[in-house]
Amino acid sequence: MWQGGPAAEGRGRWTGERAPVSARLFLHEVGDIDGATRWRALGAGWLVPDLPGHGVVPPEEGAYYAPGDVALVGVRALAAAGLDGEPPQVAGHGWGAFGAELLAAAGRASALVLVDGLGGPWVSRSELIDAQHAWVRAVLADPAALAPPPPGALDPRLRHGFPSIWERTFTEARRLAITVPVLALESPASVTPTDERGSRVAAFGGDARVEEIAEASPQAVLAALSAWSRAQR
Amino acid sequence: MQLPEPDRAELLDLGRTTIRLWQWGDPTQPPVLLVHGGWDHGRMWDGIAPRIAALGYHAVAIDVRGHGDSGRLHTSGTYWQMFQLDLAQVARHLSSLRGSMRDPALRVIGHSFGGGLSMSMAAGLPDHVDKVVNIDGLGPPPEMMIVEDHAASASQWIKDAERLWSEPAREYASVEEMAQKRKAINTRLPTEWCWHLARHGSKPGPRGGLVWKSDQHMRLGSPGPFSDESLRAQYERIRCPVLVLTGTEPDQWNDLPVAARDARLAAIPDVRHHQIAGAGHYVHIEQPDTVLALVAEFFGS
Repeated sequence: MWQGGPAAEGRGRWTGERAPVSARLFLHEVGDIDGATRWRALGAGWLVPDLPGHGVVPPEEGAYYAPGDVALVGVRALAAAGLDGEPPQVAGHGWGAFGAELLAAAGRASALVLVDGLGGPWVSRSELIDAQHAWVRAVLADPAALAPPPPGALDPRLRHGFPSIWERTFTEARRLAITVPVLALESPASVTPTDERGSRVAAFGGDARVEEIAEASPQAVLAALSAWSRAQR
Repeated sequence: MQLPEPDRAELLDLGRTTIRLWQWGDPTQPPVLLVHGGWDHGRMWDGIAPRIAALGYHAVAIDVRGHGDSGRLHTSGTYWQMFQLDLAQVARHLSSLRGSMRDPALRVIGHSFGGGLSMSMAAGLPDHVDKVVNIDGLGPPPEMMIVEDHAASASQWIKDAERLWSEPAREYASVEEMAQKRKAINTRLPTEWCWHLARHGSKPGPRGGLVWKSDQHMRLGSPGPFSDESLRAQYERIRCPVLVLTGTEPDQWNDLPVAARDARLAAIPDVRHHQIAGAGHYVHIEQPDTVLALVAEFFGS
């Protein structure tokens, strides 16, 4: 059993007794301080790294965070666990799902599972700029979000999340490039407008479906994955 | 080439990173922030900064994070808002030097990538910026911002990151070799300036040679919905006067087509544009007298 700590190159933990033939990677939500710990209940065979600034992993130098970082944490965790061969099944929750989606777009996933990961309301390219400006002003107005992050606690910067990236044309073009099977699991806490869930999964280039789950939990995800696996057979 | 050293050098602690400030003139005078281009550093203003200070300003050139002596970058390559936060905190620091409790109204001069950062700061933080001089920093050609193949783009981004993690930075035998490398890229830059930029932009590497101070993470760029349209939307939000200076001569990195340039200029509510004869991308280095005269007039000095 590999237990990567802060000093581990892969910044993650391996929960199985030995590396499985078919790896599975789960990327937790940004701002969920114990996210990896909670999702390790997925069980053996799942690689669930702590994101920087979460769990046992300190923030990166400069304590700055970006959505794309999540995907690269996944790449490093897989490499450190010796699982950088065949593309794994990749899943993620919230912004972790966005990281998983980037990995799938890059051809680094054999299947994609998005937990509350279809994205926020669509914004125009002009509104993207407003969202970025609003985010910068909000962080500047929060002294704790500018101060050095407190060790062992959630970085106050992460309470500000990220500016929206959900421009429709760009997002749908990326999703069209994803041709592996996709399962989207939507809980009541999802930020995706309910009436758009169907059209959002339809944008993927391969087989994609959306299911409702009662909550974004390992148990609900495992149950949905089991049903999905049976349906695929 | 004999250029005077800055009057003062300061390593400013922003809490999460440090930013190098190179300063000329009286700190109680109105500040002018000088923001260099990508892969450059604050010492590229050594020629014109003392002359701006002589106009009655506190001229402050920064090393943007990931450049020069400032703090390092990491991971994904999405840094634009991070740079904005750094610049705003530097602006607050300069305000405190003057004893002002409110956010400062900065005059900002930016070159290339630094021009883009200056425009973004003016658009998003209008209370922080009084006037902007943008030297050939209206952004890349529109087609360079279009992601044609999302799979290839995402794949390349990850491969670039993996290469960066596994391959050490290239080391050079001497400043001369680095200056020659710079000259080969920026053919219009005077040789003595290539030497100057290489001398101040290099540091000892782990294997006994010299490496560029610029952080290699600047090479990374995660694919995103940044576009000509969003750039113009940003320009439309700028409320302060903007002076745009571009060179007339073809050069590396000044390949913005005229139609795209004019469309971006038209999006800026209060703009004046001058094309400087005998200059390429490094307008302020090739034609410093002309640039200084236009800046002085624009600032009302």
